[in-house]
Amino acid sequence: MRIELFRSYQKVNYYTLVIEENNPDGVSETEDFFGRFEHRKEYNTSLNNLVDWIEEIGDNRGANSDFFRPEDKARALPPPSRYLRTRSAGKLRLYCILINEQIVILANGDEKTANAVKDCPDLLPKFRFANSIARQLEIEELKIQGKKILNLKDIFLQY
Amino acid sequence: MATSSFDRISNRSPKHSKIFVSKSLDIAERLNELLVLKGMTQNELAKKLNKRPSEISKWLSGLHNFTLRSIAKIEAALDEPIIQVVSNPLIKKEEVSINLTVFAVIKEQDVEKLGSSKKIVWKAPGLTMGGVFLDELNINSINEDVNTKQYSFEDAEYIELDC
Repeated sequence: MRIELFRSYQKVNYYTLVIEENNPDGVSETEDFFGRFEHRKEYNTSLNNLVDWIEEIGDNRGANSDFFRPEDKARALPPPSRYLRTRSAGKLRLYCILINEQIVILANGDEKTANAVKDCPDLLPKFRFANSIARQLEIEELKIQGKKILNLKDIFLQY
Repeated sequence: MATSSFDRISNRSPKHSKIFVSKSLDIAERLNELLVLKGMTQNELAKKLNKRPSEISKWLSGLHNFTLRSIAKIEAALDEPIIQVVSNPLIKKEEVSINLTVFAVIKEQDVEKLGSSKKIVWKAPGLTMGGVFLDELNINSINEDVNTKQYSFEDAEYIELDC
């Protein structure tokens, strides 16, 4: 598995994860998430908010930890919001790992179908995966310069 | 042409969605700033507003759709503005310092009232100068020829003397 740059903005670089096994096209975990929900109209508002939020944080705000939902060692998007929760499509979760205010690693996610993530069969594996990556990155030494991770090729992560 | 799902979603996201996200983050940041300024914790603000602390936490995370009434209650609790409405851009309010000589018609019976104060508050509704409305002219001193009849601007009206 490798980390690669997903999108670069003024204040934040978003990285993503690519599982190389059985993935000949090299589709990243984050692109997989957006691809699965892109054409489902009931999720349009939720997806728009998510993408707009990622861009706004990236371009203008920086990745302040207040703006991310805590999920054990990992984080999730969108941030906690009663506004989104009252809409049926506001139950998407995109997990991520917050490195600092300039670097976020976006992982994968799914729909939250129950109150507790342990009761969401599709979301639970994504939650566990993001937390596994977060724990591994606690041990790995990331060489950071500004919003860049310099030693991407030296980082070995297990899926 | 956008080749990724992320880019396609970004391209189709309506302008009002982007504005909503930006404004709700503006409010969240302003709230955080005010809590620091006031030395108030989230719990203290929650207590003041009779809300659960978890609700305040959600406000501070962004993407919350506040009602105007909620904003008003928060502003009242913090005694600070959170949002301000942009004024009509057609009317620019500027402070302009203008030196001008105002000729005033003073009624004879009022001349006596001037006495030694010689201070006139002059309100001139509808008076304009260079297309800019002049609401009020404070005149601190008057020409010594106050007793001399002079001619006024057509739109100016003598209102009161402060003696």
